[in-house]
Amino acid sequence: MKRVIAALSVFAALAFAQGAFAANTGSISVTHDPMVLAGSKSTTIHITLPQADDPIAAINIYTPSGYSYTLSQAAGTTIGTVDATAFSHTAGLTLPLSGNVVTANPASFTQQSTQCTGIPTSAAVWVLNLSVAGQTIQLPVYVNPTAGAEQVLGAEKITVCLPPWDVPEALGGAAQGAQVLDVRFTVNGVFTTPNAGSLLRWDTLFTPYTPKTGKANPAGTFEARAFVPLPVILGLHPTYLSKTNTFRLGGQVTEGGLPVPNLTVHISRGVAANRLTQQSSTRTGSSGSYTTAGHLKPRKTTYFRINASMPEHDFAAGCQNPAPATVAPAGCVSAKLSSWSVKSAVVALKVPKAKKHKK
Amino acid sequence: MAALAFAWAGTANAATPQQLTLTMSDGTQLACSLTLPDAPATPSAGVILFHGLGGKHQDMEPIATQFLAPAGYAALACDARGHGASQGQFGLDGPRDVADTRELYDWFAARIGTQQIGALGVSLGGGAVWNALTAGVPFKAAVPIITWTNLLSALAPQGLSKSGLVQYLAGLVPTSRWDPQLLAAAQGLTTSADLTAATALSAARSETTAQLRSITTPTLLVQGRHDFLFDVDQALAAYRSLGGPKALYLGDVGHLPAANPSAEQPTLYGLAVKWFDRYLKGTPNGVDRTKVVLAHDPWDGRTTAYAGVPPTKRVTVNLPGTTTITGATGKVVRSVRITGGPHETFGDSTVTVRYSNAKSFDHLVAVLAVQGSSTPISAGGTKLKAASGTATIRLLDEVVRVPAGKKLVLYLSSTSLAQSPSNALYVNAVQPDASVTIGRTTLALSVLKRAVSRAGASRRLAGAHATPGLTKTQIVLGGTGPLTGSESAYEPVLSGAKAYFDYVNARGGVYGRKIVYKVEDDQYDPVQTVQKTQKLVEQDGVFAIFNSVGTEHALAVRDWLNARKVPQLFVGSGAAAIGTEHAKYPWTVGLLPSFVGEGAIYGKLIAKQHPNAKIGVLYENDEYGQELLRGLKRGLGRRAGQIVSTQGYALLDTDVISQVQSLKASGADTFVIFALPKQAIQAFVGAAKLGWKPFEYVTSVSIDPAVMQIVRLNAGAQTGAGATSSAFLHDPTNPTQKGSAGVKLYLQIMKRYLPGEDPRAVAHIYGMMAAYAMVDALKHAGRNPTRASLLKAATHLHETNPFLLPGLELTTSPKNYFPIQRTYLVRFQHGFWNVLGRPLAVPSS
Repeated sequence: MKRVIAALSVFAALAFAQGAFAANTGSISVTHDPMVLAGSKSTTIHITLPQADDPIAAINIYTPSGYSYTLSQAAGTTIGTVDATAFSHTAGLTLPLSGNVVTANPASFTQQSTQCTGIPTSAAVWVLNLSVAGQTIQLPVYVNPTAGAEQVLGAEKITVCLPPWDVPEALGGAAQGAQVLDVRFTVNGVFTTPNAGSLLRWDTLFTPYTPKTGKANPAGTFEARAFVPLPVILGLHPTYLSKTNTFRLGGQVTEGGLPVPNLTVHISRGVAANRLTQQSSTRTGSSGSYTTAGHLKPRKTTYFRINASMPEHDFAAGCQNPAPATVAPAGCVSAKLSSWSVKSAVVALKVPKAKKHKK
Repeated sequence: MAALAFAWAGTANAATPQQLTLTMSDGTQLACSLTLPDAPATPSAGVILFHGLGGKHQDMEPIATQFLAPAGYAALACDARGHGASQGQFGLDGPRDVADTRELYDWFAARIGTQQIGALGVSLGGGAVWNALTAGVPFKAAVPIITWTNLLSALAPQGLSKSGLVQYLAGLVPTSRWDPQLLAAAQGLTTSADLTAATALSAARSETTAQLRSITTPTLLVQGRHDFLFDVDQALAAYRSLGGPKALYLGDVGHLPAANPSAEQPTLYGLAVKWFDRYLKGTPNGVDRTKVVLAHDPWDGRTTAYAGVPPTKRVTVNLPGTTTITGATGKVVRSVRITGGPHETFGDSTVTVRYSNAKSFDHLVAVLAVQGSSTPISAGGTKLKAASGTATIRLLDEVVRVPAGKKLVLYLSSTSLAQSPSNALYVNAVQPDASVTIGRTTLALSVLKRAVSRAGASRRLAGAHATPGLTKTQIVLGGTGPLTGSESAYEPVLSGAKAYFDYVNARGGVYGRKIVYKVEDDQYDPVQTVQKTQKLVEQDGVFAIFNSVGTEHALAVRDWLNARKVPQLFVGSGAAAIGTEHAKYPWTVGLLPSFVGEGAIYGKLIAKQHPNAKIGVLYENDEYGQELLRGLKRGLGRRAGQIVSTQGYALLDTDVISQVQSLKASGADTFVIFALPKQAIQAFVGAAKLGWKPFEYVTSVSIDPAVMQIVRLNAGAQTGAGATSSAFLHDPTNPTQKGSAGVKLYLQIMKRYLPGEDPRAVAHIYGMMAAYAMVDALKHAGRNPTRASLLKAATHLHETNPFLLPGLELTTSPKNYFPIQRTYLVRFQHGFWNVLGRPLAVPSS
C-alpha cells in the first residue's frame, strides 16, 4: 500500500539490476557555527542537486557518531532558517525560496513519515517552510535513529522526500514542476558537536526517480559525503621586540587536526579588546603556519585577533572506500569539505614599561 | 454542495486539527485532518466526518473542534477524491469512495485505539455514510445529514431532471477532476433525454428498501425542512425502513432555499453528540427515546417531538380553467385560498393536471408558492407521454408553513423560471413552437394535522428577511479568489484581510460583533466565481461580498449582486467598469487606483523624461491591460505615436518571450510592461536574455518584492535596475519603511495571525489595507447596520489607512468609486522599490 521510498533505497538495491541511470552528481556539505568541539549548537546542511540530474526521490543524511542530539523541542518551535532555489518547469524560471525551519508534531505526519521513511512516528519532524511571493511549500524532514545495518552509516538519519518534477502534479508530481536545485538549512540547538576532533563524515544517500515515471529507482542510489573538520583552530601567538617596538605574530591554522595551507588570514588589532580594526592579512604556508610583523604605535598594550574563512570545497580523497554497492549502487559521486568562518580569541600583547635610568 | 455553513468561531481552548495526508491502497493520497480532544489523552471514541460536494475537509473541522472534541471525541475528516487537496477522481460516493471509507475507518481505529467509531456526513458526505453502512463498514453510530437515499429520485424525480440544480452541482467540482463515468451521467441528467447512465450511477449509490432494512447501525437522520435538492422523503424512506435504532431531525438546514441559521447548529450538533454519546460511549442519556423532531421555521430555538412520522391530513382544492401555453415562456398561473390554517406542508403533495393538444410540449413543471413570496413552497415536474391526458406531478416533500388566509399560487410551465427568474430548479425549456392546453388542475396538499411553526414563518415566506449575515455576535462577509491553481499568488490578498479581521476581532470586533470572513476558492475562473459567490450569498447568507479577486471575476457577478442589492465592496480592480459605472451598479465599489489613470501617469512621465522615446508595450489582452494601454496613450498625448509596437498576451499563454522579441525587434528603447507578476518576470528576464536594455516601466500590480528577486536570480543582479512603477502600499521589505507604524502593525499581525506565511508578500499588506477599509465602513454603517447603510458608509469613506504610504488616503463619494486617487512613483534601485518625490493624482478616467 505504501511506497516506502527512503527505506527501499537502502540495503534493497541488490534486488535490482544495475540498470541505466543518469550520471547524478548531487552533493552535500555540512558546517557548524562555531567550528568547535563539544559545544557548537548551530548546524547548516547544504544540498545541491544539479538541474541536469534525474529527479530525486529521497535523501538520507546520516550523522556521524559522536554527536549528541536534542530533539525534544515543542511542536511549532522555530529552530532555524532555510534558503533554497528551485526551477519551476511550468514557469521556466528559477525561484528563490526561504523561510523558517519549524518543528512539528510527529504524530501529525504519520502517513507522510511512513511513506517517506517507513517509520510511522519519526523521532522528530522539521518542516522547511519554503516561501516565495506569499506562496509556501512545506517540506517535511524526518529525523530518526538508525537501526540494523544502517548503523554503520551513522547514528541518526535525516530524511527528505521530494515529489518528482517531471510528472504532472495531478499524478503526484511537484507543484509547478518545481525542481529543487539547492537547499541550505540551519538548525540551532539540535546537534552538539563531538568531544573528539577529526574529519567527521556525514554520509548521504540520494535515491533518484526513474525519469518520467514517478517511481523511485533504488538501483540509481548514489552516495555523497560531507566532511566536517573539527575543530578549526586559528593559532595566534604574538611576541614583542622592545628594541624596535615591533611585534611578531605567528601561529598555525588547522582544521580537524590537519594544517590548512595557502589560506588568507586577516589580522585585526587595537588598543582595546573591543575596538579592533582589520589592519593587514597574510597567508599560511604549506604547514598551515603564518607569520607577520609590524610596528606598535603607540607604545601600549595592543590586542590582536585573526580571522579566516574557508569556502565549501571538494575533498578529492573523500570518496575513497565508498559505501558498498548494496547500499549505493551508483557509487560515491562527491565529497565536500565544510565551509567555515572563524575568528581567533583576542590576544593581548603587553608592552613592558620602559626601565627608568637612575641619575 | 457545502450546504451547511460553519463559522470559524472556535474558543480559545478549541482542539487544533492536525493536517495529514493518508494514502489509500491504490496509492491515491487524501488530504485529511485529525482533531484530538484535549482530554482524555486517549479518546474512547471517534467520528469520521464527510464533507459536501465541492467542499473540503476543513469545512468539517468546526464540527470537530466546536462539538466533538469538547465532548471527548477524536475526529477525522478528509477531502474526498477529486476534492480539495486530495488526489484521485471525483466518484460521487462510488465504490472506490466506499473503499476509501473502509480504509479510513481502519486507519482511524488503529490511530485512536478503538473501534467505537461513528460517521457524520453532510450532503455528499451523508451519501458516503449511507453507502458505507450498506457496504458493511462497521460504524457504531451514524448521522447522515441533508442527503439522499435514492439519488435518481432526488436529481430527476418522475424522470424529469432538476436541470438547473444539476448544472449548478456539476460546476462545484471541475470536470477535469471527475471520474469520466460521471460525465456521461451528468450530461444525461442535464437534458433528461437519456437517464440510462444516471440510473446506473444512482443504483450503485442508493439504498434499496431491503438494504435499509438490513442496516442496524443506530442512525440519527438529519434532513432539511425546505431543501429542493434532497427533500424530506429522502430521509423518511430510510427512517421508515431502518432496522436499528433511529431518529429523525427535520431542521431549517439544507440546500436551497434552506435558511441554515447558525443559531440552530448547537441544537443540531448537540443532538448528534448525544447520539454518539449513547451509541459510541454507552451513556444512558435518553436520546434513544427521540423519534422524530421538527425544528420550527424560522428557527426560534423550539422543536416539536413526535413519536413517529408526524400525522398529516390532506387538503384538496381545484383550480379550474383552460389555458393554452406556448414555448418556453408560456405559463399558467392559478391561485386559490385554502380554508382554515395556518397549515404546514408535510408529506406527498400532488398537482394533477388535465391537459390536451400537447405539441412538442414534452414535460410540465409545477411550482407552488404563497402569494407575494418569491421563495416557493415546493415544485415538481413530469414528462408528458401523450398528446392529451392527465399528468400527476408529485411535489417535493417540503415542510413549509402556509399562513392562514394567504392565497397559494400554482405556476405551470416547462421551467420553474416561470415562477421567478431566480428559481433555476428546472431550466430545460420546450421548443418555442411547443404548446399545450392546460385544463382543470387539482392540488392535493398534504399538511401536518397541526402546524407547529410560529406565525413568524410567514415573514420569511413573504420575503421579509432579517439582514443576512448579521447576528448579535457576528458579521459574516464573503469573498472569492484563487486559493489554489496557477494564480494562487493572490491568495495572500484574502488571507491578509482575514488576518486583519482576526486582529480586530481580538479587540472586540465591530460594535461587539466578530467579523467572520468566508472565502471560497474560484481558482481564478470567473465561472466558478459566479457559483461560489451565489453560494456565499444564498447558502451562507453573507452580509456583503468583500475583497474578491479579479476584474473579470467581479464583473461576472456584478449584475447578480446588484440585482439583489448585496454590497460588492472593495473589488481588487481599477477597471473603469468598476469605478465609473456606479450609476448603473451602485452596489459595486472598487479599490485599486484607476488602471487608465495609472497608465496615464506612465505616459506623462515618459513624455517628460524621454520625449524621444520609442515605446514598446507588453499588455495583458483583456480589460485590465487594455485600460492601462489606453491610459498610457492618453498620458503620452501627442506623443502617443511614439508607441512603435504593442504586444498582447493571453492569461493562458505559456510565456511572453515571442512578444518581447517582437518588441525588441521594433526598435523600441522604452519597455512598458502592463502584465501580471508571472508575465512581468518573464518580460524582464526575456529582455535581459535577449540583450535588450530599454528604459523599463511596469504596472504596480507586479512590484511585489519577489518579482524582482526572481528576475535578478534568473537574469542577473542588475536586471530591472532603474525600472519605474507606482505604489500606494507600504513595502515591508524596504528598509526605509521598516520604521513606519503601518509596517510595524503589519508585521505584528503577520506574526500573530499568519505565522506560517511569508511576510514579504505585498499581497498580504494589500489584503490588510482592504480589510481596514472594510472595518471602517462597518463602523460607519452603525451599530445595527443594513446592507444599505454599509453601502452608504463605503461610499462616504475618508480615512487614513496605516497600510498606505504616507500622505495617501481612501476617499469615496457616491460619484467617486475609485477610493485610491493618489499614488507615488517608485524606482527599483539597490534591490528595492524606492519612493520618488510627492504623491501624484491618478486620473479616474
